[in-house]
Amino acid sequence: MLEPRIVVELRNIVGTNGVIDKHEQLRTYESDGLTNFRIVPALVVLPTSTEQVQAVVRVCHREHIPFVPRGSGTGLSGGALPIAGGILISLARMRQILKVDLPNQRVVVQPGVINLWITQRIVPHGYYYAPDPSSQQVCSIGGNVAENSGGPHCLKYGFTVNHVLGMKFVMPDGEVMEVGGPTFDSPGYDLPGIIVGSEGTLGIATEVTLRILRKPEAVQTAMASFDTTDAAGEAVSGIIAAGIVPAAVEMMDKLAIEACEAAVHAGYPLDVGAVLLVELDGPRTEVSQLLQRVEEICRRAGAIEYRLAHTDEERTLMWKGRKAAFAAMGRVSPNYIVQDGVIPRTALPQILREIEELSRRAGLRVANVFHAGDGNLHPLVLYDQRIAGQEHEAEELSGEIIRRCVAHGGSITGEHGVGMEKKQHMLAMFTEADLATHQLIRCAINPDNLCNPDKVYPTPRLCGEVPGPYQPHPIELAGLAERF
Amino acid sequence: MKVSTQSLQETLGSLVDGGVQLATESDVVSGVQPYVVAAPGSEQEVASVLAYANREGLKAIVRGGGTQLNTGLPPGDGDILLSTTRLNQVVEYAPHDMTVTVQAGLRLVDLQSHLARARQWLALDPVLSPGATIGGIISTNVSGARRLRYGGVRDQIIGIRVVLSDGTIAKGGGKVVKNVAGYDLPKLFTGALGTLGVIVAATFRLYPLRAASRTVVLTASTPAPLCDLAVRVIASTLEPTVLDVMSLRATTRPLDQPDSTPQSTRASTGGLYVMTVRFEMEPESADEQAAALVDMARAEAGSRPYSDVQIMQGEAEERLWRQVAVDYTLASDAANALIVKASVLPTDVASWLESLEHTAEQESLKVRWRAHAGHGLIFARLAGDEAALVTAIDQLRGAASVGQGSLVVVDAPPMLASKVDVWGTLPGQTFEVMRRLKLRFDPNYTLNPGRFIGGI
Repeated sequence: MLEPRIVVELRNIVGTNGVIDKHEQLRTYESDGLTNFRIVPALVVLPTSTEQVQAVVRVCHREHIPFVPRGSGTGLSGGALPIAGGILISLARMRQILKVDLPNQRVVVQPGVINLWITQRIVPHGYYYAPDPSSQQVCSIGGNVAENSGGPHCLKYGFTVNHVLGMKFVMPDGEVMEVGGPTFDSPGYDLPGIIVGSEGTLGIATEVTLRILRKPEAVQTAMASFDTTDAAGEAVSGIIAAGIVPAAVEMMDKLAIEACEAAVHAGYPLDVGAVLLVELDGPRTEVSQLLQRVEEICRRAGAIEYRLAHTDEERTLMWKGRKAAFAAMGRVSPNYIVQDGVIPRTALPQILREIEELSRRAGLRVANVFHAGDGNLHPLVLYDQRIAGQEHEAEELSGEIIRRCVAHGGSITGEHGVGMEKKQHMLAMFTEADLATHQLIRCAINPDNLCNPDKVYPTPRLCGEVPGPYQPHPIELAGLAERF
Repeated sequence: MKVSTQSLQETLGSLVDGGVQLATESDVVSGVQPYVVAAPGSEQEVASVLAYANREGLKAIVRGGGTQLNTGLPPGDGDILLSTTRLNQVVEYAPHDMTVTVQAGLRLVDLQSHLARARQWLALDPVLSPGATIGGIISTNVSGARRLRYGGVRDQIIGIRVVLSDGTIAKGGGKVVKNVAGYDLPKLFTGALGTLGVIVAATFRLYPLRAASRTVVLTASTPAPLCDLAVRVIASTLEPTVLDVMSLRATTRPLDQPDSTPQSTRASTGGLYVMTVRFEMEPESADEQAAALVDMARAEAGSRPYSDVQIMQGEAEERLWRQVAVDYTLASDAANALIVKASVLPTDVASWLESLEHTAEQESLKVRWRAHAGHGLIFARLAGDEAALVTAIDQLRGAASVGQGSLVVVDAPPMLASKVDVWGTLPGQTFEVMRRLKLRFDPNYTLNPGRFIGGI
């Protein structure tokens, strides 16, 4: 419990509407999109400005109260899981698009702005914001910044970090700094580069400058179906080998297709082993030429059906199935675990065989949805919580898939983050020395570890005192500093 | 402990197998003469050298190909020159995954020819001498014209191995393009000028080489209409890989003529400024987009003084780009010349260039510049009087900061580098965070001391 005087002070900062302290309401914030970790925070505060965020963080710093920043709470790794006895700082009331500069292709937004709102605001002028996580209708830019969110189109256009140019940033001690700016290559270390993807462990972005992109002349989406995921994988390899960089390449296996169809009727064929969505964009002539090549490659790989979206509606429908894939699992299973692993793309056939074998051995179904172009897998492990022990088995299976990804030279997470969920997997990818080195960054910016503690790294490094100032050169002191 | 050159050489010789020599005059870095040159053959040897230096209070200057040693402030000190030249291997090339892992001392040109065999490339095209190494390119965050389409170093690098000053060997990122596990060490080390650790290897994402290329060349008597056109191009559906406006002032021959036929620029082109817009894609689309740009330019020919609009391809186009690379290499070539990098918004390029031309005239400076007008980075070579250069840097930095831009001196001979304001200043809190990062990674200032912003 927080001392009443602190609650009063915070209420004075953010107003009565900006503080949540009733247990029933606090329970809304007990988890993010990863619901198997739940902690009710002592208090939720909802600031509306940089100044309020700063004032709240200053109180936390002064009183040594741990705090966790939260956007829309859609994260899938527990990054916004509250700290027991700590404060949750929700940025959901900071929802303004502050500036739109079309000629320079920049926008400045507050952290609570929903990802899709940016595109909706600028699309009438022919622009869009490229990172498009499947949750883009509800996830916030602040959360995207914390998680370095991706989405299907990051294959060609990169992740959040490739689109963030600058930030106004409240540090864990309550100081405010500007990092980066609207122009490229701000002098000094690339602070936006290390803040993006730091999972809220370094502070709170209160204004974010983003790049937006001109919509290409043409966008074409095709769907191809195959007997097996191997055949679909062969088509993907063929596309890459032909020197084509698609805007997106997505794959779903049989179980995933069935679930998606049941949920949103996207028009996927049901009696096939895999569906591939391929999207190309760019100059119209080039897109149609390359798409012909894609069709040839797909047919050569044994495509049963190859279908082009002829209208925007058809294209939207093709994507609707894919974007609804996670939620659609509810149609085929009472419970499921979403996994997020990465392999070098060429290891796709092997990892799928391994997953199949693991699935068979555990007696649990696994549906596979993936960003096939960049080897980012989302195996969905299906289980029934009501059956004793099955949840544990599902977790074991899901964890084993991640270990296999690392064994193939991949990563434990491509876009969902480490958060609470995957801290222990970090040692599969990194040595102790690697992790200690990473945490030098946290020690420089969040030395007291009050800001989102206990996330990402399995063992927090103790930071110690800030090392001393510049020391004179011993050779100079020894009088040996001879120069030619 | 008292260190003599001889004992330093002996000690390092025991740590680095066959890669330690006494330094000579050719190893001077911005006026600082190191005692010995150590060229480790492995990351473990790098670690041994650094741990030793750090323990003994010795300072190390890191050198790759030595093509950008005039970047940054002159080092405050330097006992050991740590050369990465022996770390020059391609560690792992996975063409089908479109990734490559290389050691830091590998030259970019050698990497590109290695990748070209599989019709791929690392999408970085800084205009540097052929000696430029991967480690140096990461550390200086230098980029070229195609950044417009492909992004810069930070957008290509996906993994890194570094050695810290205490000898810790650590990695960040990985070898897959999509990966959000852990803090982004690759980006922290990009542009850090070797002040946080020594880069020993890096992993990059790759792109396929494009099928065809066309370049549209336009000239004008002032830069403004060309910059205006550039802003209209990025607002269109044209997808050039290069969108440059250049001063032809210093060029002694028209860009499309063979090197052997020097003639007056003004006479042949009818203008002093040239715009080059390159389209690299499937041939039919390249033709269409080039033609569309020509139409866009001619549509306003009445009010826009463009002349000599032409589309180049094949050998003539290749010659053009070779010549640009010669004319705009990022190395100061005279004791009274330096190179600055200004970063402004695309819509501010024209007004910044106006400031540049105005300042040059006022201060009697010779200028030659290349503006990447589509993404707002401008490289300018300024030559002249020392006092005039000091004044010009301040004025031009002021002009860039009007639109929240920046300016840094990227290449200056040591005498000039110690006089002009190389980095400018940052807001106090932002700089304080950078200083703290330095103190955590290299508390004794063992690495490249004093070279980076604010004397970091």
